[in-house]
Amino acid sequence: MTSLQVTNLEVKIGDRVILSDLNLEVASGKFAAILGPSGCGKTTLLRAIAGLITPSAGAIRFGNKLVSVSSLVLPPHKRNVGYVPQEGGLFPHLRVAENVAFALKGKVERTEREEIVSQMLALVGLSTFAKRFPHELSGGQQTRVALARALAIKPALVLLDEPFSALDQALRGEISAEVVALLKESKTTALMVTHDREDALVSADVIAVMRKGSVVQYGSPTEIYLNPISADVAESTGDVVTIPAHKVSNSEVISPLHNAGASRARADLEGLMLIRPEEILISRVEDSKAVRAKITKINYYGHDALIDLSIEGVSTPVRARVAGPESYSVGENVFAHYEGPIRYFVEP
Amino acid sequence: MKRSRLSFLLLAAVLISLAFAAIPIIYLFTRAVSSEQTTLSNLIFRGKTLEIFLTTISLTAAVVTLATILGVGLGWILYNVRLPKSNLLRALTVLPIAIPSYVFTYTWIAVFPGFSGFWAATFVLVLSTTPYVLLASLASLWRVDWSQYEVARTLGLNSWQTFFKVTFPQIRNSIAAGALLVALYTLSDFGAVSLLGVDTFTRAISNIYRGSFDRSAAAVLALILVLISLIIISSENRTRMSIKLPRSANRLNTVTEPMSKKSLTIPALLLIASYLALGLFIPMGILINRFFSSAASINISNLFITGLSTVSVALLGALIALCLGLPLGILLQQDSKLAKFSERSLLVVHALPGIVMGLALVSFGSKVSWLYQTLLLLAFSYALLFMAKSVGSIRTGLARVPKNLTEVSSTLGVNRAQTFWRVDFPLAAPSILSGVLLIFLSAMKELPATLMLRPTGFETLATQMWRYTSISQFSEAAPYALLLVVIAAIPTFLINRPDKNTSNEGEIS
Repeated sequence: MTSLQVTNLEVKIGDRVILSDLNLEVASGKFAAILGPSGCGKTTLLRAIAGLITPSAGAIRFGNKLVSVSSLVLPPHKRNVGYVPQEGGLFPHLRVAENVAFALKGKVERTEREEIVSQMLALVGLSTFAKRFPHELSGGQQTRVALARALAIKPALVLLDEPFSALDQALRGEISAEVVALLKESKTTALMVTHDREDALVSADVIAVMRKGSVVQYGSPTEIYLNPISADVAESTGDVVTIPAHKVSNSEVISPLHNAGASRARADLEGLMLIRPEEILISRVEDSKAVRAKITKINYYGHDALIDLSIEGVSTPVRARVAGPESYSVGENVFAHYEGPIRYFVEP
Repeated sequence: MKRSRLSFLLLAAVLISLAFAAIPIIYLFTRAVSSEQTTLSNLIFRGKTLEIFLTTISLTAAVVTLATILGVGLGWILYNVRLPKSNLLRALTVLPIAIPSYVFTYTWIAVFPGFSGFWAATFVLVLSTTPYVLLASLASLWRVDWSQYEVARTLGLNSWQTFFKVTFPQIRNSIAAGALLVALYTLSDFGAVSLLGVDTFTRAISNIYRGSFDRSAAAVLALILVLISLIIISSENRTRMSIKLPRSANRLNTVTEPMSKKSLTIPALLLIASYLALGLFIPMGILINRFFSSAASINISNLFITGLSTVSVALLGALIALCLGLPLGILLQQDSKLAKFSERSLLVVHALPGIVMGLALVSFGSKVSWLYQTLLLLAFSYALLFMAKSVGSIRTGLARVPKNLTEVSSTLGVNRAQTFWRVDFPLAAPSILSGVLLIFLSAMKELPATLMLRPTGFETLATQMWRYTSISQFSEAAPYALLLVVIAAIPTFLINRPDKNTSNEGEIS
């Protein structure tokens, strides 16, 4: 295992700049997720790290080893990365065991090779499937075989491209937990590309949020969730509500949700407050810190519900999350109260 | 995306293949140019040439039109109408592809000695080329996502409108490709038109060559014929519209369930039955009948030796075609100037009818004395004639190997050459193998080039039956014709196994 360092990376395809001035660092043994919408260049980043495309500028290092700068670009077969492409990419003409042994053939002696293969298959829990062909496996099993094949070369790091996108929702949580556990167990540095915020939040040690070809924020899941650097980043990790606000000091903000009178001075509210729906508390009891609100819509999910509130001074519905079975009804007047950190932005 | 440079070895192999492919064209040109200016213009502008031109064009147009209508119709029926024993029917309707046009012609002449002329040739050629269109349309119909049909119907289109607005646009490229094969088949046909006395270019070239040994005049006519083929090929290329399937459609292997149209079952069966009767059962019946009526006098040992020579020289030709085709097939995976150039050159080679190839290689052979009148030259002519087929099947086979597999292989520490042999090649092998078989089959049936290039005393089944037929010894020809059909039909079946799941594309071009 080794650390990964990407500095000032730029990738062009034709004349189009796909990645520009991208920086990223993953410490040894960590599981990092690249989170971003489709088209932001996250797969391109993965392919550049694997050596499948040639960057136009910047450097990529595995530990102390330089694998890609303008003067030297190591070809993929000399990088020792375990690459798991979308949907696994198993060789359809080879059996499961042969797939796993693919890289070892001609390099490792036969008995040792068989040893490694059975170890790897045991690791992913598919020992009894060695003789099967890929088309005889389910989607989740294919992903696990692909992972076993990648790990068989004892890679410096593992790259996973949307590994769970082909799985249905029910299987997804289970498989991703398994895969993450496997990678942690083998202490492998891993980088996973995903557009699914739950995949990223649940499995990763660190998350890099990508927008338009570069990493805009990097940190632990909690940091990214609680302290997003912009409304856009906030949205990528969960539901978010923005309301107009004015910052008085680092610990004090005026907004229609903090202060019922704020709407009078609406012209002063030049900034935005970012609020997570679970940070808005609703009550039928009046409270000095709470403001009046009217329920306009209820989205009920069973384990929780999202309630749209109409609050004076805010033009869009303010969304609040309430746990469990709720007793409110549409049209009811309630009191809303904000309890959370101050996330204040002045959008250009 | 930036592709890594060609390896030196591949580049060398590509250049060698291209050099071989250039031989016939170079010899045709030098021949044609060596004739004097006056005879050249006399030859091109005399009335007879115009007549030949018009006959060739009208025959081609008639055959293409009728074979396309019949082929698409049969394809649509086999896809859409619920028929008893539909797998067997599919297999049988493809079978006429195995019968060479001159065998067809022979069977009809043997029964009706007066059978000749333009429409007789049209009849024979339509029957033997319909399977090309049929295969192409069936294969593409299977690829059309059935849910699109259902969506169109729910959007208010009736089944005809759906066919023309949804299905047809997706299968038209394949139909055009099938029609192109028919056109090239007709342009290069020598056997049927010669026996039926239709003066097309191929017959005229052969007559001039044999009558006067005036190779320059023959070369000029040959070049005109090549030009016509080239024009047809490139116009098909230009009208081709690319339809990119959305990724999901590629990925999901939707099982399509054709609608059953019971009311059409009887008329459909009647159409298929009459096609099979004319294109398969009656000719085969005549052939078998002739065979048994002459059974006593068959020269078994000669038949065996001729059969063996046919198979071995055809096999040699197919293997040479594979060797010449492999580097080009690999090259065409890439998007480079050399690839584009090779693709164009292949079109030219593809446009050479058998008689033209024969003529060109006779000229070449007369300069290279150690090759002249050898089996190697004959096999080489097969290889060049069918090189485009070989490259085509290698190319499609390789193109179907998913990109991410080769990428995975390279990240697993396997270099490009090894990746090719361990991933690309095994995955493409079925397609490549079927291409080789197809060439083998075509080479066994090849007549005009074989007639010109075979060493003295060497006969293939085709030339032997041709000799007997042209002197009206129909019974003597029967065993050779029958054996030819039987051993040519086997590979046809292997390749075009009418098995729905293999979704064969009829990779003939």
